[in-house]
Amino acid sequence: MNHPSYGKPKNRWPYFLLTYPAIMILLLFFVPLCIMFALSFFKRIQSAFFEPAFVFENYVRAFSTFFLQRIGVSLWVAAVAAFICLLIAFPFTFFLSRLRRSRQVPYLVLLISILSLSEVIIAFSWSLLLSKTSGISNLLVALKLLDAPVSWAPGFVAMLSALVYISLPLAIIVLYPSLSRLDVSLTEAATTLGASPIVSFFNVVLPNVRQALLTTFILVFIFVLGSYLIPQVLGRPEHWTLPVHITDQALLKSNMPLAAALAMLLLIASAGLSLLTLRLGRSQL
Amino acid sequence: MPNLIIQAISKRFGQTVALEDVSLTLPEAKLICFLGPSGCGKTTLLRLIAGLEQASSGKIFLGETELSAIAAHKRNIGMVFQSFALFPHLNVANNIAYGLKIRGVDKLTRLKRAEELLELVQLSGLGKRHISQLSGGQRQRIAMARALALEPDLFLLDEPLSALDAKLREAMQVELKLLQQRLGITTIVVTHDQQEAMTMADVIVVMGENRVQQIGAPLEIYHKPKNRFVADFIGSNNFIPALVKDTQSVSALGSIFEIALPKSLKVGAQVALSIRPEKLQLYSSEPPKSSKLAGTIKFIRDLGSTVETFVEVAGHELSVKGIQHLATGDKVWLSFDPADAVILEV
Ligand SMILES: Nc1ncnc2c1ncn2[C@@H]1O[C@H](COP(=O)(O)OP(=O)(O)O)[C@@H](O)[C@H]1O
Ligand SMILES: [Mg+2]
Repeated sequence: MNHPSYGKPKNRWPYFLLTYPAIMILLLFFVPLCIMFALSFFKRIQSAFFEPAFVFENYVRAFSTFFLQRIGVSLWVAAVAAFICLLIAFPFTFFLSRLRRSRQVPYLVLLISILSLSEVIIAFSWSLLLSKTSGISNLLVALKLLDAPVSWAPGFVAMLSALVYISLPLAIIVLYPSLSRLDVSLTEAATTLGASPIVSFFNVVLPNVRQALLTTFILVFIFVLGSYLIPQVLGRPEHWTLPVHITDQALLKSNMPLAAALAMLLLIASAGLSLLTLRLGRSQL
Repeated sequence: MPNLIIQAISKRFGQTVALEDVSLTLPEAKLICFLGPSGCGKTTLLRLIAGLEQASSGKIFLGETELSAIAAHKRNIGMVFQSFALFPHLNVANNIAYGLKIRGVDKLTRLKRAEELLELVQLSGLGKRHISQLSGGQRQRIAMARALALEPDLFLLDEPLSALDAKLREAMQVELKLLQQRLGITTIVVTHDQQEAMTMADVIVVMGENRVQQIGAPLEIYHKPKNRFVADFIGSNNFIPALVKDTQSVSALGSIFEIALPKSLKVGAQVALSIRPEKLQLYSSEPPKSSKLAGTIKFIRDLGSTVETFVEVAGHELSVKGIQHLATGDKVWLSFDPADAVILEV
């Protein structure tokens, strides 16, 4: 039989409807991106702002030892945070997905509500919690576990803790679907074939969720790479990630062209990693 | 290979009772079917034997060995799961050889054994295939091959054929039975399909209401059901309300029947006379038999291989199976051999 209408909707409305998101993406995303791209080749003028030009000096500066080191620190911080985040998120999500459905719901709701907190609230809450004047160390002193209150922020551990905290819900929500889809009878089958719980974890669970773990790692990595406020508030200058320096250049040093060039580098790094994630996701099928 | 002895096993999940005081002795090297309606605890009992659940009370022995005291992964039991549970990240051969790998058997021996098992389940040459490239029937066989790779003491299958279509299912019933006879491994198959149990089993354990209702050979279960539950669940049955007259007769539907009665029944007790539809004979005139009933045909339906006739006798409808040439509304006589009737307590 013939189906001449297959794949050809007679109604043209769907196409018109698509123009709305298209225009929005163009206006809100693509146009600013073009402006930023152009800006990154502009010439900076001391004591003024910048003037249109086509120079590479911003990129030359962006590739200077100082900024390369900053990029290195950013990548390192993002990698460590993503790793710790996964270390916590994986077992948590694994056991969560093994609970009865009705018991899982409250945890998931809690996690989503953490996602709704802004980075500002999280950064300042942690800074308060780790401060000398009103932080947890006072509580520990009251419990006679410490002699005197101490200041834990700013510092590398403080920054990392907050970064892990903010990305944990994201990691869990990304991991959750593939872990809850993992058939329990797979591990049971391994058990009847002589595998102890540890052996079946490494032989059966891990190989079947490896892809999801990798995807989550890269997503959290990109997420942390783009964070600005937490490193700013809770990190020392030597821990500052690239976004902090971009803001620094743009707002304090009024060097918009350099900020634009640095932002382009960050964007390219994130886009590259996102593509890698998509690639891995596809090869999974 | 010794008997499997299940001793007073009970299992609760929170408030839910899954099994209540189950005691069984299952013979070695036989094919045993756990048969019962959904939710009666068949899977739970199988999982308890495999060690995937812990009993709330009771013990399980394999001969002298207390199975219930051994960790699940040390029991040497082959199990086929309802979902087959094949490892999606391994190919067919590596799935089959997984247990051998855990025991540290070298790769060459593993692959050789995997090929042997593929031959056993008639899938030679499929070793390199990916699990996702297999049909339902093939997966089922691979799951069996994997469970048999370690030459287990017990071979457990949870509704292994329920995912297959009717035609394949019937072929597999025969094949599974032949495989079991060839290997001589004590095999337990869980099923809710009485036809399947009748076809395959040496011994049927009828389960219902979270207990064991009866254990016996298929024909024994069919012809001599121990209680109303079994008589109702296995095949179709007519239940006629009856009253015990004396030690060897009951009255039912206005007639007296001479029937061997269990000793435990008291005179005047309410019982049910259970008789299979195919054990009832229809006559257009009064037959010269002792056990007979008079009635009227209410309804006739053609079942293809046979005809089912519904006869009303003293306000009670009875089903009769067998070819006949009567019409709805005809006055008829029914008779049966008292040896075919079973008296059940109600
Ligand atoms: N993990 C479990 N948690 C709670 N209840 C369960 C669990 N497994 C089984 N049950 C309950 O135990 C009873 C028996 O279940 P099951 O053994 O699966 O029956 P069957 O296999 O005969 O259909 C059912 O009422 C079922 O709801
Ligand atoms: Mg079941």
